[in-house]
Amino acid sequence: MSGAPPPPGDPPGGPGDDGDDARDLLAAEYALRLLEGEELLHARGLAGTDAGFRAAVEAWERRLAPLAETVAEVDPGPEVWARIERAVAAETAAGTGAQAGADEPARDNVVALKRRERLWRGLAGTMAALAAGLALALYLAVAQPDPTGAPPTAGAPAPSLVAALAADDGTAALAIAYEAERGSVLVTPTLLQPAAGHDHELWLIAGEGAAPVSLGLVRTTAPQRLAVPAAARGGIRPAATLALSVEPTGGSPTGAPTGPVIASGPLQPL
Amino acid sequence: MDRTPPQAAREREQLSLALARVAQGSQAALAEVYGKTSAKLFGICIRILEERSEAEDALQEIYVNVWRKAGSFDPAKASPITWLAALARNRSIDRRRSLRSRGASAPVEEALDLADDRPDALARLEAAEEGSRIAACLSELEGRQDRAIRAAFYEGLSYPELALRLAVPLGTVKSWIRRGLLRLKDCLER
Repeated sequence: MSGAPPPPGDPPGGPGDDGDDARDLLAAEYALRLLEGEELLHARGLAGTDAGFRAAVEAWERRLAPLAETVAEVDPGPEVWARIERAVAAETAAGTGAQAGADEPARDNVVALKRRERLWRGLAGTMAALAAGLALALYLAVAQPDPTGAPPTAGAPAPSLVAALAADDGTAALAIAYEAERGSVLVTPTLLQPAAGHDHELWLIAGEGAAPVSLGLVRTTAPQRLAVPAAARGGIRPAATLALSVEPTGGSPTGAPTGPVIASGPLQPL
Repeated sequence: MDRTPPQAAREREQLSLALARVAQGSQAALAEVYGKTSAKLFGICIRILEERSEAEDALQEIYVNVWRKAGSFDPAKASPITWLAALARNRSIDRRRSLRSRGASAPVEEALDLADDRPDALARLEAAEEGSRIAACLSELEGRQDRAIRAAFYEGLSYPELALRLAVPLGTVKSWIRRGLLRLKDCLER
């Protein structure tokens, strides 16, 4: 057991350290965003896979957060809000996969999905079975024009491909269904922890060696629909992989995954 | 122990409720959140990004993020303004580092004047009264530990950037900050 503290400059949390203190310092440094390079990748990996480390990071974020209270306020001017309004309106429109005329409002779907979500959280069974069942149930729910629960209209096609994404340590799970007509994926998080300061981003990897394509950020608490870019739709086929990574808030700044992949799974025919 | 006065508690609850409505898709609720918090968050962005147009872009991204992830805000775990401020800080730092790695010309890095970042006695008293124990605990640290931690928090500087700014070796600034963090934690846990 090492009695000496690590020499200045060495990252804490390495072998031979006084483990808990060093890990907690690393969590503080990560929360403060002091880290770069190798140290940052190491800490990010821990944050993606180690719930205890994540908890330590969140504790430090809570300790430090009140410092922001003394920052001087600055009026941003009216133009920024106008841009935000437009961006949000555009996202809402894209999120419904709007087709001319016929769709029920997206928010009604989300409310209906949320009601069912409470049932889904209690489901047992293998991840694959869960995903297939959820994906079908999700699809039937949104295909219903009648919110009172009438059966789907004849001819409403079932989703063709589904995926179950699960982390090895059971800390994350997503059920995904591809809706070919809308060109979007329906994502239901069944076990996903929000991570302060980070977002979860979903990636499509069309085949061996293909570059991951971002499908967007995944909310941890509610089912949602993500539009698949038209250029990427050709990559949605059996054996393509979907992967979930932990990214800085707002998603990867580079267009490729920068954080650890915490769950992945292949697309499979239903 | 929560010593926030009733007014602050009411505002906090209203903001939490507004965020819940944002999560359900209300753009009007987002406007309410923006109206109440944008000046504070913009202040955070400006401090980190130093250039107004960059800070405006960051602010836009931040509120679009609020729109997307309001559902993940848990009022039991954090106050709404600290949740928002953390989003703002993180997004601004991401942007700052992305600019740097893309080789964008950095704002003129003046040597950090270590003297002017510590709040005066009155501000410290106010911070203590507001229940901001961390401000009180920071002021108990050695000056250089306190100032280094503040520079990291308020300016969004990483270890290498801090070493450059303070003109000391990397190992030195790491040891200042680590010792400061350990003492901070002790103080907060008293």
